[in-house]
Amino acid sequence: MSTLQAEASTEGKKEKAARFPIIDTDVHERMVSIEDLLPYIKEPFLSYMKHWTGWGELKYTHPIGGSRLDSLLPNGNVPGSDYGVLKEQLLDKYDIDYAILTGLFYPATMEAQFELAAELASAYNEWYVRNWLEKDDRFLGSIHVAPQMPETAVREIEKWGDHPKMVQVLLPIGTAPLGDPYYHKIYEAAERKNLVIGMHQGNSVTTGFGQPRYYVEWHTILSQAFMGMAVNLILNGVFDKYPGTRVAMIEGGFTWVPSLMWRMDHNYKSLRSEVPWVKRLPSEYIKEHFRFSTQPIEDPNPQHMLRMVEMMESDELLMFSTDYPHWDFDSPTRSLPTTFSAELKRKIFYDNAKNFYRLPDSPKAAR
Amino acid sequence: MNRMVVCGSEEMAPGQKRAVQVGSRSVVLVRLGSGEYCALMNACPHQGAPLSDGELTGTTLPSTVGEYVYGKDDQVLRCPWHRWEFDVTSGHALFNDRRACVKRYEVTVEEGNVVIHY
Repeated sequence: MSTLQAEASTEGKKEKAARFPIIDTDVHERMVSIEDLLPYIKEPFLSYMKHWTGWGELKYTHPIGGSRLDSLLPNGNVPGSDYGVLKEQLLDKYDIDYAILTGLFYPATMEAQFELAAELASAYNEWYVRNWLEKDDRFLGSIHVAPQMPETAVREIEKWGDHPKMVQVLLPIGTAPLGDPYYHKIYEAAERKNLVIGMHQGNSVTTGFGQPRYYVEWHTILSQAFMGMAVNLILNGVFDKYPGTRVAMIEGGFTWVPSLMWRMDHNYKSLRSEVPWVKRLPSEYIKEHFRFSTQPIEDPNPQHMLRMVEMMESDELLMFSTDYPHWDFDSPTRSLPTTFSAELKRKIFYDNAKNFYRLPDSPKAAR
Repeated sequence: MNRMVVCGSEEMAPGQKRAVQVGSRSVVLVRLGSGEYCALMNACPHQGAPLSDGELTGTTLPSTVGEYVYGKDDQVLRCPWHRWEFDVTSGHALFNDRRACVKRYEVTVEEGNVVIHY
């Protein structure tokens, strides 16, 4: 066998199949460029697009590149923009049952021109439903909205909410306290349409002291924004007002959840009178209404990670995710700690997301 | 110990890498700028990504605050996924954790061939 043949056979080898059905709760499909959206953008905003420079929200030049090096496309298009490659590298390689598409397009984080934001979100939905969501039975979708103008978000939720493959409304972490009553009609609409609220960090997330100097700092502490949002949603009464609201916190970590529950309960016991609409201990809302995606999973002592799940007092809060095609991708075969039992792994890989998103059993899992 | 000829000694230019199959294992063969060869197991100890899909590069060396000293040109193999960095001459990760280490294989050049010993 020549060297080249040896190389090809090595790369083509299928990853050892996971023993569990898998729902990947964070998969980033991409446009090749903003031009993809032009057919779906109406005037006056179509004219704006002649001058589009993006909204330049990531404050850092990525020091090592934002995607898996093996997801870079030969034609130079952005990783995640080719269905065939995504199918091969993720869906087929790991035998994924469902992949929830979360995009990488965040007009929801624009700090100005909210009507344009709403138009872009709407155009993105039109584009990606046709070009991604309906292309593969395994894809499930997120409705992109502009929460800056909640009434436009409601219109988008009503437009797409009955699409059989739409499972959530995507909201950004880090730009606004979305538990504020100003945004409540979004939760009302999502509840009415039986959709999860998926919250994924936007690139404009800042930290307790603003913008840290280095990317590695930012990427480490952006969990702060997820903590803040969980507290904000609970204490502004979203779950008391709309008890059917379910929130998936995507890519924000989860090892902070126990301490946040403890601290929020501790404060609530003394300060309940300030938020009398909150009827139960805050930790109970976390357990009932929130789920957390696993990627990027930390890798401490595996025993400690198991204890962390025990401290969450529920084995139903975690949902597996890969974050394909990004640089911090978690492999289905290699990322969960060795200390997790088969029963716990099955819940994280499949059952928890299936139940939370209220999905029918996948054909494979039903076998 | 087994040995296997994997390529001719001038097939690869300095600064190149490739995956080679050696027995039942995949190995990443690297040619340093000096012309010497190194070989590592072709799997990152973190999550198993094939290191041959990564980049052979230099990197910043330990320095004082605010100072960047670039070195180890074409001696650092960076994993294609999480970009863990490994010194190909030792197999050790560049962060200080002895558990993060890739198995090294002895490589010799014999009669115009690159030979991996395993």
